[in-house]
Amino acid sequence: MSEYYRHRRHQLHQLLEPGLRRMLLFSFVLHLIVPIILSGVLNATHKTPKVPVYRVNLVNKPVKDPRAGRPDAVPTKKKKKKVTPKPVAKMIPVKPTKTVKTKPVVKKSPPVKTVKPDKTAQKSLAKRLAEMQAEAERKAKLDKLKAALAAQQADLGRPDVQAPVGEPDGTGKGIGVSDVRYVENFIKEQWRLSEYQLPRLDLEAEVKVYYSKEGKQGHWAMVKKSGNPFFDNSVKTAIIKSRELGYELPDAGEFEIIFNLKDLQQR
Amino acid sequence: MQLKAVFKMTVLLALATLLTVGCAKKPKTDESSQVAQTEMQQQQVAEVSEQPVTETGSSSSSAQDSMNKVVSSLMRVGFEYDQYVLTAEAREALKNNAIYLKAKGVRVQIEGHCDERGSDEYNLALGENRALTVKSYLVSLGVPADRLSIISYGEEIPLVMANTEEAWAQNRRAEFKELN
Amino acid sequence: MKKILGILLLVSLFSSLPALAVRIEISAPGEQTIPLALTRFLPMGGSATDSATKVDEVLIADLDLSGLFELADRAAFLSDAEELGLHSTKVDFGQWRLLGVDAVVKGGYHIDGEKLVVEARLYDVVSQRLLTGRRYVGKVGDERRIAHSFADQIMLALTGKMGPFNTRLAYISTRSGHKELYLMEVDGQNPLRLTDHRSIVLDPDFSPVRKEIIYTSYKKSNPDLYRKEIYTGSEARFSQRPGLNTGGRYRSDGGELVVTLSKGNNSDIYLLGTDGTIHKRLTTHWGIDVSPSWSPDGDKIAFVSDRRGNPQIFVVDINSLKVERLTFEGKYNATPDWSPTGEWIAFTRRTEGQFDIFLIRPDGSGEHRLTFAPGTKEHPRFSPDGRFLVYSLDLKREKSIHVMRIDGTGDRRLSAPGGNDTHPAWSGYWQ
Repeated sequence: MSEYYRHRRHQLHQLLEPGLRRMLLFSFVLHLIVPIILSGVLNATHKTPKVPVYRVNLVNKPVKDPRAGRPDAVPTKKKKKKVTPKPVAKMIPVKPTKTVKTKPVVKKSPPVKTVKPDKTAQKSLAKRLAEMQAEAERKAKLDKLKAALAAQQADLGRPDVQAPVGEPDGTGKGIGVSDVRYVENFIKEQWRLSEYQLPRLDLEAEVKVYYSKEGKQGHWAMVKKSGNPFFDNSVKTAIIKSRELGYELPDAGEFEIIFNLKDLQQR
Repeated sequence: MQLKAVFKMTVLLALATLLTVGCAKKPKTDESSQVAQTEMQQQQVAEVSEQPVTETGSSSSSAQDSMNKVVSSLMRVGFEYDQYVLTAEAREALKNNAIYLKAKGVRVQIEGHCDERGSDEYNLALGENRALTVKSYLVSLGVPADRLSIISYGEEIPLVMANTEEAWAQNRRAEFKELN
Repeated sequence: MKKILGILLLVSLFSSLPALAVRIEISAPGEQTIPLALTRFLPMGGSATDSATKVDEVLIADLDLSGLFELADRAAFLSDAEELGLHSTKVDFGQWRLLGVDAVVKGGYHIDGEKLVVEARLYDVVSQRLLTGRRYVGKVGDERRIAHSFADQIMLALTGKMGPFNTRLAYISTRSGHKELYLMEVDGQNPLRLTDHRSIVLDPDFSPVRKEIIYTSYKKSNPDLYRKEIYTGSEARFSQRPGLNTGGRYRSDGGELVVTLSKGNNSDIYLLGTDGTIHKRLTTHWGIDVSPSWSPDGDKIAFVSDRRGNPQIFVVDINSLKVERLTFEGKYNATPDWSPTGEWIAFTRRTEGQFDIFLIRPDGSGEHRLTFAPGTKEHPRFSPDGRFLVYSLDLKREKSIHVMRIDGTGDRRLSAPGGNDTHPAWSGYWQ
């Protein structure tokens, strides 16, 4: 067998040019790549990942805890419900002192006028009166707070309160700003361009820019120009001004930023 | 090997493009060539020396008044807003005017006027149409056409300086000025 | 061989890896103004004079009217504001970047006897480049003109289109007791009376090619058309047909005029040669036809006609004489002015008891109202760059000249108080 093959190989060697073997090998390698590509090994990565769609909030600039402190910020609202008694309890020691200081001045006089009991009874009566007063006021305070809470909850039904403020994913927990939106708003703030500089508003440019994890700008390139030199220049300036984001990204990466004037066109 | 060379080239090219796009280009230009020199032209505007003028008669047609005497017995004719057709009242007044003109044999200029509302130039044309209507009506009543000339002052010479309906009504008029 | 295979595989793998870039769309700039630092001009040798103040005032006013800029607060300026910096290498751009400005204006002046030299520069702070630079040689007293001129250059550098600040406005004023023709700078300064007809002067228009104004005057007891050379002061009557000789407007090349003539009969629109001869009659209608305005390419005329019962804007084609109606809304539309860019026709419309300024595209689309404040607005006229509109405002007690951007913003009064100022007209580029 081996002898036979060796013989055949020898025959082939004699028949064919010496460079052919290398050529065939090269051809084989190239052909190998074809099934690799077709096999789907690379196919998975070929699918362009879903482009994240980010909502642009044109009215509100990015803030941390965008919904914090809002009555409609869901987590805080729930907490408030449970916590409400506590502040009231804390307030009580403060309030009585206030009322005792002021009210007894008025209350002291009637007992003195009507009867003339001994000082201790007078004192205890005054004390009790003060206590009753404090209790009444505490109840009133509680009622007020309850009413306020009820009103607040009723308010939540109002459309203006329910309207989203800050970022849609804002929770008030401190992760209000998504990183992408931060970058977007940062660069947007650097972009200065007046309508009066342009003869038309249907302009668009695209820039690819790399940011390190530390928010430092790496290479960037204008991959699509609008054709209007003033528009394109303003975009370049915005990118150059965005060298440092002053913000740590979860990961380094490339951003494809499209600059256009759709919001101005709609007006 | 050849393949290696090709690979090297592509890597180099990729690096080169990355490098070039990464740098903000700062073209070296000679600034002095960009700084243009402008010699300010020294031309003196032919202005008219301005002297303060007292306010007497500033709003009336003083120039024309001095030249033309008002034919006092000729009646003024009024018009509706943005109209130049003659009202019944206007026709009555013009009949009287025609008798006077035929008897006296004077030459008069009919002035067309408008109220201040509306465009100046449109009012000039409107005033002219008012004067023309008056003229053709007088001619139809037997006044020789060659004794009647017309001019429009548009809204330039109001009779009453006010922004009321009454004032505007008085200003929409045709007047008669005797010519020498 | 195996190595090559491996490398090839790796290369193919990497090259086919998609860029995992995050896509962001920014659909409007953060701010629609350019942050600009305007430094005071500094003396280049010699002592400081009020030249810097004069230049400064004009530049601030012009740049403000442009609506392009947000002028940086001078109190925040650092030491570089005190440096002449007439070359980009001499400017400490770091300081300006720190202030957040994108552009900086620097300049210097030198007075030698009566001679005044002003150097002015506009730098891009981010790219650290000179955007525009100019050296002006003139006389003491030319400061305002020089500043207007540099404001125009700033506009050119940042928009590609020259500003209209070093131009003139003509208007009619009664300050002398009669309606006479006046001339002023575009910021309302240095008004000059040009006529002494002691009669009624109306409706001026500038020649686009010569320093010349045409207007209508009753000087010879008929509304005749006159022209006056601004610098020599020589005046000529060149259309004195019976009746109206009004609304004269030069074609953009100055070669022909369009006018309203009534010939003592009925007002129609005519084309005149610069010698006053009739070239062509454009309208033939028993109705009133007035207020013609050229399209920038000179093939159409917008005008006012009451042929449909009340004053409306129409457009006539000069060659075919075909007339098309432009405005359909409102009961009184008048005084059209065609923008030099060809994009808009401005006109006035009677609204609720007053007139207001509207814009409409020459094809009849995009009609919208620009003015809403009380008072009648009349005689809108475009600036030669089409960015601004000048008009007269009638507030019952007095009439004044105003200017605004063509989006209706930036409105301001130009003429000084205490006069009845009407009929503004904007000159072409002046130099």
